[in-house]
Amino acid sequence: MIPFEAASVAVAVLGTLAVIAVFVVRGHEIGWELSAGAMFTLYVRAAGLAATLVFAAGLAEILRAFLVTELLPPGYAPMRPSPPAEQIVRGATLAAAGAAFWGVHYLLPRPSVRGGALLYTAFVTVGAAAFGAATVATLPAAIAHEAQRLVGMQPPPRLEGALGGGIAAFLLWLGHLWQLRAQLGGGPGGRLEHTLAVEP
Amino acid sequence: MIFGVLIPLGVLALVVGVIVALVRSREALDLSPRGLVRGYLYLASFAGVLTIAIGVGSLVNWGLATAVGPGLIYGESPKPAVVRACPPSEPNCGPTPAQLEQQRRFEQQNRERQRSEDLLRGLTYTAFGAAFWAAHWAARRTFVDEGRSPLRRGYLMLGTVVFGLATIVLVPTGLYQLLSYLVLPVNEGQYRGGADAVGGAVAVLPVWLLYLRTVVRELRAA
Repeated sequence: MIPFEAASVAVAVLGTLAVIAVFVVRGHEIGWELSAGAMFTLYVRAAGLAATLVFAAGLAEILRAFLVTELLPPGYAPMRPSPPAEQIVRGATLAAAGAAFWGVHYLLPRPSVRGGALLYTAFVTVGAAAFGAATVATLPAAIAHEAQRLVGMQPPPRLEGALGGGIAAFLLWLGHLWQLRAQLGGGPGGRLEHTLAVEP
Repeated sequence: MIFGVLIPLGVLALVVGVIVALVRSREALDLSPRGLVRGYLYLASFAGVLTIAIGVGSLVNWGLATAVGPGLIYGESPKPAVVRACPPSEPNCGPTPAQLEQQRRFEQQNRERQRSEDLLRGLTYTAFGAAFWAAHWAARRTFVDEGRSPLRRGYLMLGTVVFGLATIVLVPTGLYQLLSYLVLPVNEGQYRGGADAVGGAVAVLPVWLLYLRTVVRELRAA
């Protein structure tokens, strides 16, 4: 199975490159110029997405640690040898660093550039695609794995801990979808009520 | 670790930057000899900063290994577990105290070698990078009318992107390694990993903040 982190990072990198390519090649159609402000806005969007990925990896680690120790039915021991304390420290560090990095970029001054709102929507879409792909790649297999364990079957050890990654990806996917819905005008409160990427 | 993060990021960002400049800013690209020299000077300055960062990262690792102990940066092998008792018929079945002592000495020598390598690499890269950067910076000052040229903006954005992404990779990794070493208990016989990303994190964070501050200041001034 593809790990949650690999799936989300791969889709996010490809999506970011695709957004850059589209804006560079066809941006002039909406008046987007490769100015200093536009380059900076592009950087802030990409950095915000990178921070979200790091935060998601931390959240996944914390969920894995607690799911392995807390949700096991009586009589079932965790199969992974690594102690949960290590996962909690790793998860908390990644989540805190991701949140801090995101916060720094959120607080940066954002120049007003033509096509800025579209760029923001494009990066929210990339985030939704990345976490959506990670959810599809991880969550069904992880749920099947846990179900096997609950009914007393011996699940394959390679899926141990996948549920944490699947849930983290699912939560962030929903968040990005919510943000996309608000961006496109269908959500309550209009756009930018709940932001996962950095606002324009 | 800083090598594996900074160099690929730098090359990737540079390739993307060049493609973007070729496609979108063809009119802004100055392909005259003077324009090419300006491009070279900015590129070489960026390479100098990368080299300095790698050197400073190694020096920080060396400093921490010297101050706190080499185990913090390079990891520690497990302490020899309890040696099982030998049956009477096999008096030399397990590692003898002399063999254990030799193994301990080898590991110590290995860590000392890693520490010395970090010191040498740090001094070499920092000195060479600083000289390289300073020479190109001086050339830029005399040869290039810097102002707010697209090349300068590209140079600053390249630094912000590369060191920003390196920061988001190296800072959490280094912090986790450090906390893991300092806080988590180690089972007997378990290898204790070192915090070799800490040096890189300490080196790239201020460089990123410096680039970011310059970019924001120039954006505000524009």
